[in-house]
Amino acid sequence: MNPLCVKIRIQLFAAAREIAGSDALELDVPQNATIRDVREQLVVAVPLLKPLANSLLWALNNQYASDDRAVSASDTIACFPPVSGG
Amino acid sequence: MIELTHQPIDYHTLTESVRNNGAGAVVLFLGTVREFTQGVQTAWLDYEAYPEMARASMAQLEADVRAGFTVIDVAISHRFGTLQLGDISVAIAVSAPHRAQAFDAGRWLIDTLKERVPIWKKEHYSDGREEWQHPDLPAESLGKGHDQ
Repeated sequence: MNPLCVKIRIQLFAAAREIAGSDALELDVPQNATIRDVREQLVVAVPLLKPLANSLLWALNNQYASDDRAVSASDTIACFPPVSGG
Repeated sequence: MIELTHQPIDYHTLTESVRNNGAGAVVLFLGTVREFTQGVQTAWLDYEAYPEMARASMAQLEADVRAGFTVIDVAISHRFGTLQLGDISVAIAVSAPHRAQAFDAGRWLIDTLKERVPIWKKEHYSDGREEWQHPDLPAESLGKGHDQ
C-alpha cells in the first residue's frame, strides 16, 4: 500500500449491498480523500454500482456527510441508496 | 423513547408510555403493510436497517420535535425484517397539551422519519417480482436481475 494512502472500510446497505454482493468493502484511498473521491474509487472497484453512484447517500460516524467531507481510516463510513422506511 | 425492533410493535405499551396528566391529547400513528399499490399486489415486505445510524437518527428526530413543537412526550418504534400484509412497520405516539400540537408533531415525525432514517423496504410482489423501494432513484440504476 502506498504510504500516502489509508485503508477505509465502507458499509453498504439495501440495493447497494445486493448489487455489490457484499455488506462491506475496503478501499485504499489517498490521505484527506473526500467522499467525492471515495465514490469515484468505489465505482472503479465495483462497476455495477456506477448507475447508482450519483444517487448514493454517504454517512460518516452515523451522520449524513456531503461530498466535500474528508474521510479518515478511523471513520465509520456507510453508503446507501435513498431511504424508504416508514 | 426510541426503539428499533425485530419483534411485532406493541403499540398499546408505546401509547401508554407517552400518556401524562399534563396532556389533553395523545396521537398514535401506525404505518402498516398495504396489499395493493397502484393495482400491484404485495405479498410481503422486507425491511433492512442500518441499525446504529437508524437509532441515532431516530433519537435526533425526538430531540428536534421536542425543540420545535409543543409536546410532552414522544415514542417512536420501527420494525425491521420480514413483515406480512397488515403488519405494523412503524408506530409513533405523541402527547401534547392540545390536539393540534399532537397532530402537528406526529405528522412532522412520520414525514421526517421517511426522509432521514436509514431504513429501506423491499417489495415482494404476488407475481414473484421483488423490488427495492428507493424514492427518486431511476429504475434502470437498480440494474437487471430484479425479476424473479
